[in-house]
Amino acid sequence: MSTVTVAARPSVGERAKAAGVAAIPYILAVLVAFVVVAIIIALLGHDPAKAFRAVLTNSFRNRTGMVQTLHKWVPLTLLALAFAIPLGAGRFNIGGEGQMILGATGAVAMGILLSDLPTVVLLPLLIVAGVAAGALWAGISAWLMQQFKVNEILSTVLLNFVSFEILDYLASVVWSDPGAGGAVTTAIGAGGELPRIGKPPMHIGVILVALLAIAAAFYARRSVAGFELRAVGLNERAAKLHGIRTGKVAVMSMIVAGALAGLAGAIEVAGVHHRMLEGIQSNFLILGIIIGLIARGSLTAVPFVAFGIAVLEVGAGSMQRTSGAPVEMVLILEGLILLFLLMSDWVTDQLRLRASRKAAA
Amino acid sequence: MSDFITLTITAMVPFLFVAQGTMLSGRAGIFNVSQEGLMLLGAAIGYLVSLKWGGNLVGLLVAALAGAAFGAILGWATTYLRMDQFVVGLALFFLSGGTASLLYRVVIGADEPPRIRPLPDIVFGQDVLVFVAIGLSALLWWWLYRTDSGMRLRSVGENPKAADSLGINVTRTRMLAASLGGGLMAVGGAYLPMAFSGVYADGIVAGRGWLAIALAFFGGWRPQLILAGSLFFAAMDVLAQRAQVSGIGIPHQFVSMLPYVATLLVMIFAFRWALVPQFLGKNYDRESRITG
Amino acid sequence: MSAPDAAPGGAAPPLLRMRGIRKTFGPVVALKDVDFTVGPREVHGLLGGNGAGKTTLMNVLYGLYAPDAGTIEIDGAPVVIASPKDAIAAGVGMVHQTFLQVDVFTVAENVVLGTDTSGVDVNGRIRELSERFGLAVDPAARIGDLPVGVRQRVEILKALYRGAKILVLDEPTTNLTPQEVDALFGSMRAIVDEGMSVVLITHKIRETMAACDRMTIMRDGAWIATVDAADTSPEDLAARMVGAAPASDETADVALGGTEIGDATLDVPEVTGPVRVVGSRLTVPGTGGKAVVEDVSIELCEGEILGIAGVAGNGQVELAETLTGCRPAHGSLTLDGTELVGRPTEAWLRAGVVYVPEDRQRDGILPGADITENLVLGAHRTRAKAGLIDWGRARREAVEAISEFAVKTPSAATACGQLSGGNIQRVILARAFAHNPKMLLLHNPTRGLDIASTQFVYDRIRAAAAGGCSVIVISEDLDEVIALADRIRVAYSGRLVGDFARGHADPYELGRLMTGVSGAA
Repeated sequence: MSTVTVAARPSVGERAKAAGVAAIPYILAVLVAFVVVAIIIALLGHDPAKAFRAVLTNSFRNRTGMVQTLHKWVPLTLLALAFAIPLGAGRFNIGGEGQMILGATGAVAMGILLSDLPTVVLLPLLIVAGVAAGALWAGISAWLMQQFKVNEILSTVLLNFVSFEILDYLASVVWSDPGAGGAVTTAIGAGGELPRIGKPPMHIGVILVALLAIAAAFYARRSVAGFELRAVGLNERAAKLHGIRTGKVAVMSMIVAGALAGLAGAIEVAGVHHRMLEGIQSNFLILGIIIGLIARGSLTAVPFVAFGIAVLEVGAGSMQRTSGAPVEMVLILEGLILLFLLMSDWVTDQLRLRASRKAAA
Repeated sequence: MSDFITLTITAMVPFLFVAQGTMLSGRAGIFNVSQEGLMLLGAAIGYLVSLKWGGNLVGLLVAALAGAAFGAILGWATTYLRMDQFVVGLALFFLSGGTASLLYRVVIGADEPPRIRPLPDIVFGQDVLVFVAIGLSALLWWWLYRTDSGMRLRSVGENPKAADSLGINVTRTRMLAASLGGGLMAVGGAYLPMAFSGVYADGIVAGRGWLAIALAFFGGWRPQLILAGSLFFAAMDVLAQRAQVSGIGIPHQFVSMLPYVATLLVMIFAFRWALVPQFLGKNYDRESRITG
Repeated sequence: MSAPDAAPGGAAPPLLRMRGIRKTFGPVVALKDVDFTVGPREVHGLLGGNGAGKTTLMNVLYGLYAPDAGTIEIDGAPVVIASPKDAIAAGVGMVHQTFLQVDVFTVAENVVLGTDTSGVDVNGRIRELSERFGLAVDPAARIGDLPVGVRQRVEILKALYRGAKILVLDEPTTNLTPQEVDALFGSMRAIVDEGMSVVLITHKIRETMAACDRMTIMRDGAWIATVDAADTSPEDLAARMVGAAPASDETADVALGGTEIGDATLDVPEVTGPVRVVGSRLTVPGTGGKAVVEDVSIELCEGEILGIAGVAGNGQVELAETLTGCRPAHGSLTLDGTELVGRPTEAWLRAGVVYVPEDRQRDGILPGADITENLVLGAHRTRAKAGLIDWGRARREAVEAISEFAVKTPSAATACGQLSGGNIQRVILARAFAHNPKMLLLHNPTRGLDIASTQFVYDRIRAAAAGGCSVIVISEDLDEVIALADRIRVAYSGRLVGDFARGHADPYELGRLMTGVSGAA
């Protein structure tokens, strides 16, 4: 038998090189997506350069743009985590917006019913209610999945549609603000509002979510729960045979996802709108999924990708104003980045295969 | 009451097209999850083409071709490129939905949209697509269960390795099934502005694409059972729509929830039937080495 | 011995001639310019150890693998086989080791799948073929409901139905009883008598000597020799198969299927020691009312090796999972007096029950995770402090385990799925022994391994037993069970039947138990 000791892992230099090589498909996917969208914009008779300048610089031109971007970044990061965490266990949570709406519902219920309470009591109550409601909503899907083997893609999506009706009922009947016109609730008590700092004011949900994202990334890498989640996603049968309660891990991943999406809803209520209104979920679900997939399920990458997408989203309106290119172009751009990135996997595999063939020949 | 039945039969059509498309792809092992987006694309194209370039039938045809193209992309990405079916399906859902919005915005802009003419009735107050949808279901049953090529398609969804070992082209079969399936889904979407609203709106599909997936499971991935199940889904749909117009005592939002809640309950039973194709959602790689 | 391309009789071209076939999988060269020739009307053995490239070569012939180089001639004419469709058209039929059948289809549907059935009396033709070649089947039966032996007949019928001139059988006897093997060899003769040829892929020398006219030996992806059965001996074949680096005699014997009845192990003393494992009346209810594991009772001493023989599909996987706490069951199982039934898998692991599953890729490893992570799997909870895993320590220990178990890998950070079968098994064993098992259950522990790895596994199993661990080896390879076990029992239809001490088991008696013909319990 050989007595050569193998390395625990490749050297730092090798790993840095591998990371550099791994970055190439990302850069290419983004570039190609921009080129394709530029062509479409040009075909529609607008100026692509102007459009892209508006999209990319809006967030950085002034502090207002930056705060807007960070406020957008908060729900995007949370919904992306809500998609990426169950994805780690091989489950698809397409119910982020429903869970977010329920989170907003829980928060707004506290904020309206207990509006007289002071901040120290009301704000935590509001956040906790939002988190719990989101977790509960995802818990329904998790229970159906575990108990009856109902496909979680279907159950989470169907619950989204149920949540729209709940929102509509609460905002246009129960707590309706008659002066607002449309499905909008009355405002929550002042004690339920997230404090704001700086100028222009930024709500402290941004800091809260930044800390949460760091904790999530650390926990995924180092903790037993993170390892079990990864094991279930990589090979559910093997994980089960080695003592991991796979069903419990999958259910927990869904519930944690619901809690995060619920938190997003609570922060939108407490930090941004101070009430619940129709459309509060925006298109955060789709963007969260796109972010989660671009990040390849890596919780470490999610906040960074989310920031990039937030920049694009905040820039979309400014693009339409200055260049005339419709805002939908931004969603197409994001979809194409994802699609090209997925395809680049195949390209990378082919190149690797060819290299290994050459080495073997 | 007869009015309710007439409406239910009309409401059945989009479910039937989309669920049969889902079934057809699925029987070859391709689990498409981009129905919601493909229906939206079909609705936008169907509406715009009908309005501007030659009427309903041309609109349906162009929508079918666009849906087939998206289906083909799904087939290509999951066979030749072996990408994950759900991930590609979701990406195509976003892209097709985004494309639908974009097309509408580019052609119509922010103006009040003109209405297109509805499909003409043939008999019993039903339009031609009602009969096409029912006939299609019968045809799919006959093809899948009474012909050699249908048996080949089913074998690809059950055990592609076995099919491959008998000279059946798994990739080509899957490409075909995914394309035809995508085409049917877009037709189901194109029917919406033609039969109901007369105009396109971003919310026009309202979850029917997802419900159609549920219907495919409910119908055990069999065309004849899907035909039967689509009546149930359509009845729920009609109830929900009616409640918004005429109040019946309880808040209309709760009636509007009905299709989704009922589907969730029905799914509890549907997933016990275990009639799902064995290789649904799984890619096939001939040279993957399982044993040394 | 004749040259590889010399046809018997000389003048007529051989039925099949493959020349210079080369196939690589990534950096692994699976076939090294192999030549292979089959004459008309012959049963041709394709002999070699596991990993010799036999199946790969035939998969190339059947169009499942595209070769990187080489040519194929059939009846003297060059053919291009790019897919199974081309292979079928050229008259090649292949029965794979894992049957390629659609479970929800009937026998008839499986047979005709992919052909044009318009105007064909399908059932009549199947009946005619099955009578002619002694392959009894019911065309209307659903294939998923049939036992292995019948399913194999269907596979052969599939090839004959398509008019195969060359029928390739890949390890066809693996899951058959001795009686079924005799019937299969009879059908092979009938096929050859009708003018076709059969290629029999096997690693068992006895089989080739019993059934083949000529045989080709392969080793490490290369052609070694082609010989007439009349001109060779089992010893000669064994020497060629093993090559210049023979393992111990006994392992080679087992790996090559040469162990004879009884063997020289009669005088081994029975293991006696404190009883460690007592399982009683273990039952796992099945879906259709019939239990998948039924009323199983076992008893093991410290240091004892219990072998469980049986034909695949007789509840071995379920039994293995029951005995290791991976599947809920009724009944009782105690380890050193502690009851384990009803407790989660994790508790069994902590108590020292360790399972080495049969399907390594599917059940044994996380293919996408690296070796370090795979070694931590299962022990991740016991090793964690405050819910956090110390990966630095895990990496250091992984390096040690890799050198102790001689895993061939560039580093501990290599994904486990990229290793060869033998190295994956070494990782799994390293993990198993890191648990300090009190009871170790291995299912088909050497399937697909080369001789060196097989020997390694046997050494480890014996060392564990010598150290007091109670070992259960469930194997479909009867020779392996006979070679390793102190006691042998047979799995049949979810039950355990028979109980033989080492040296007291006759393969034919075991065969009868394996088919339920003999009622000894």
